[in-house]
Amino acid sequence: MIDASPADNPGERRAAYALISPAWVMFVVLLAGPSLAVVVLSLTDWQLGAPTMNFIGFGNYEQLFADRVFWKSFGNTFVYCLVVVPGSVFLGLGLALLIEGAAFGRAFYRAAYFLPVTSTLIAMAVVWEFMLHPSVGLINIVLEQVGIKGGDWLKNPSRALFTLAGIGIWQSAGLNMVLFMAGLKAIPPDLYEAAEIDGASSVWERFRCVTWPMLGPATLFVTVVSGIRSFQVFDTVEVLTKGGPNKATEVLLYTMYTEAFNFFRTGYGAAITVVFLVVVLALTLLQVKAGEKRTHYS
Amino acid sequence: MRKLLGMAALAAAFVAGPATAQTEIVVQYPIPDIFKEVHEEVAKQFMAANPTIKVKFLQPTKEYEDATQQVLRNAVTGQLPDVTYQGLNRQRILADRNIAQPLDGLIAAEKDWASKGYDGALLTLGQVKGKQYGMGFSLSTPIIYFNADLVKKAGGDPDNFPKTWEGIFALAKKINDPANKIAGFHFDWDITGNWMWQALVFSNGGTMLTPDEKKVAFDGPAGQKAINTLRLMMTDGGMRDVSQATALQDFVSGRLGIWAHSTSRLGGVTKQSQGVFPLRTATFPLGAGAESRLPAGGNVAMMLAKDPAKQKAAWEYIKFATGPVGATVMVKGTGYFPANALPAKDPKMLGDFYAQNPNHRVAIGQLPSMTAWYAFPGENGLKITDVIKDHLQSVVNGSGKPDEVLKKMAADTQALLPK
Repeated sequence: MIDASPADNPGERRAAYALISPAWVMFVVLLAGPSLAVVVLSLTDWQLGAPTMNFIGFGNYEQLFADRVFWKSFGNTFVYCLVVVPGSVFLGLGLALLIEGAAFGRAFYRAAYFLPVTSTLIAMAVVWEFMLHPSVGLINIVLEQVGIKGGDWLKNPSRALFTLAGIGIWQSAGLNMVLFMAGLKAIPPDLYEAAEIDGASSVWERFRCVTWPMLGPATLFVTVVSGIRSFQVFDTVEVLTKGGPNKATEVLLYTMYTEAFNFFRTGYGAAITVVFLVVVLALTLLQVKAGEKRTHYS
Repeated sequence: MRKLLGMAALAAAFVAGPATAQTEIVVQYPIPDIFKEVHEEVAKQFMAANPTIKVKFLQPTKEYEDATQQVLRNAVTGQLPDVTYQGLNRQRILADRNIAQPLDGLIAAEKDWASKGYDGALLTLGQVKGKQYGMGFSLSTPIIYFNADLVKKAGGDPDNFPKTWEGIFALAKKINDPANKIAGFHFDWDITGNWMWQALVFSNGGTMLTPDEKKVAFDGPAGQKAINTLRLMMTDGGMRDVSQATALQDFVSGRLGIWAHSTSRLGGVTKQSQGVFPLRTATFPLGAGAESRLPAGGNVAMMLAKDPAKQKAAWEYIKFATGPVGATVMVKGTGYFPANALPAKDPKMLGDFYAQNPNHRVAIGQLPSMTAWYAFPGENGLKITDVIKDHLQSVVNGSGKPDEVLKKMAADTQALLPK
C-alpha cells in the first residue's frame, strides 16, 4: 500500500467535507430537520397552541387507520391520480405530437396550452367555479344548447371528484406537453429514415417503432411527476368543494390541513403528513429504479 | 381614511403633550369586509379620548377560523396580540389552553359596573366554565329575511308573516317558480360551527349535550323535531341543495323569496336590495314557546396581554369598544346588534336608528331567547362540528333518512367526546 487514495489524505478529506458542507447544511435545515420534526410530532398528542405535549407512541396512527375519513381520503386521492395521470400524460403526448407535426402556428399553440401551468391555480379555481355554476355557468349553458341537462358538477357526490380531476388534467397537460416536446426533439431524424427504409411507411408504424420507444425515459419521468403532482392536489379542493359533499372530494393533503389547522389536532395531522411523505418517497424510488433499468435506451 | 387616522393619532399625541409614557396595545380582528371601517373608527375615537394609549392593528384575518389559528400560532412563537376578537364558539379553545386572560378581577374592581349596560344574560355569552373571558362586541341571531314583493305575489301578507315552519313552507311552495328561476325558500344549514343546527334544536327547547357535558342530548325529542324540519325544508319547502353563496346571490337579485340566515348580513343585504325589491325580516320560528332558545353568533373581545400595564390599557379599550360609543359605531356599520343595553335606550345613540329601521329591530326582539353558541368540549371539539355537518348534508341531499341519520350522528359525536 504505497499509493494513498485521495480519501486517505487528511487534508483532502477535510477539503472534501468543507466543500459539501453547504449542501449538507441546507439539506438538514430545509429537508431532513423539518421531516424529522414532523415524524416526532406524529408520535405526540400535541395540539396547536397547547401548553403540554405527551408522547403517545403510535396512538395517532392507530386512530388514523381506524378512521373512516382517512381511508375515504386516501382512496379518493388514488382515484384522482388514476384519472389525472393517464389523462394528462396522453393528452400531453397527443398535443406534443400534433403541435410538432403542425405546419404553422406552433409557437401560438405551445403558449396557449402552456398557459394553465403558468396561471395561479387558486385564481383559476375561482374561474372554474363560475363556469361550473349549476344555473348560470358557461358549461351548463353550452350543454343546454345541445339538449343536455348539466346538473350540479360540484355538489353531486358521484361526480364532484371527477370534475376536479378534469380540472387537474386541464392544468397539468400543458407541462406534460412541453416535456414530451423536449423528448421528441431529442429523437435523431435518421432513425425515422432508417425505419422508412425498413418498411415502416405509415404514421402509426413510425410512432410504434421509433417515437414511442424513444420517448420511454421521457414518458416515465412525465408519469412519475404527474403522479406526485396529482397526489398533492389541494387548491381546487379548498376553493371549490372543501372536501364535500360528504367527503366525496376529501383528499390526503386537504384532510391533513383540516385536522392540523382547522381542528388543531397537530399530532394527528403530522401522522397524515408522514403517510403522505412515504407515498411520495415510494413514487420517487420507483422512478429511480425503473430509470436505472432503462438507461440503455438513450 | 388611513391618512385621516394617522392625522388623528398625531393630533392626539400633540394634545397629550410630549409622549407621556404612551402604552401601545396590539389588536387583531377578523372579517375585514364587514368590520374594517368599524374597528378603525372605534380606535380613532378611543385614542382621542385616551391619549396615553395607542391602538395598533395587526393585518386582519379573513374568517373566524384563521383568527383562532393566528392566535394559536402566535402563542407558540410568543408574539400574542394584546386584544383579539374571536367568534363566540372559539372562546373555549383559547380559555382551555390558558391563552386568554379571565376578566373577572377587572370587572370586580370597576366602580358602579351595574350601570354600565352589561346585562347579565349578555355577559354569559362571554363565559367559559363560569369565568368571564370575552366581552361581547357584535352579536347576531338567526332570522328570516324575505322579499316582500314575492311574498305578496304568492298571496302572503308581509305584515303578518307566518310564525311556524309549516306556514313558511306553504308560502314558499307558492313562491317557487322554477320556470322563471325563482326559488321559494333557503335555509343556510351549513353556517360554521353547526350554528343553524343549534338554532333548530335550541328553538325546539333542546340542547347539544346533557348539562354535565358527558352525553349527547340532541337525539331527544327536540333534535328529532329539528332534523325532521330540516328534511321538510327540502320536501315541503322546495329548498334546493345549493351553497350559501348561491343562496345569497339569488336573494339579493330578487330570485329567492324567503331566506333564513344570520342578522350579520342585514347591513349588506339592505344596501344590495335597494331598488331591487322591498326587504323585510321576521322572527325565527320558535317551536317550544318560553323554552325556546336561539344561539348568539358574532364575536367577543378577549384579552391576551399578560403584562399588568398592557392589561390596564387593553381593558380600557375593550370597555370602550364594547360600550355605548363602540356599539353605536358598530351597529350603524353592520347588521349586528350590541352586547350592551345602553345605546338602544338613548335616542341620540341607537334609539332613533332602531325606530327608523324595523328590519334591525326584529333581532332585538329575539334577545330574551338568546343563548350561547355552543362549543363541544375536548380535543375533538371542532372535529365534532365537521362530523355533524356531514350527517346533516346527507339529510339535505336526501341520501339518509332523518331518524337514522340522527342516531348515527349522536353515536359518532358520543365517540369523539372526552371519556
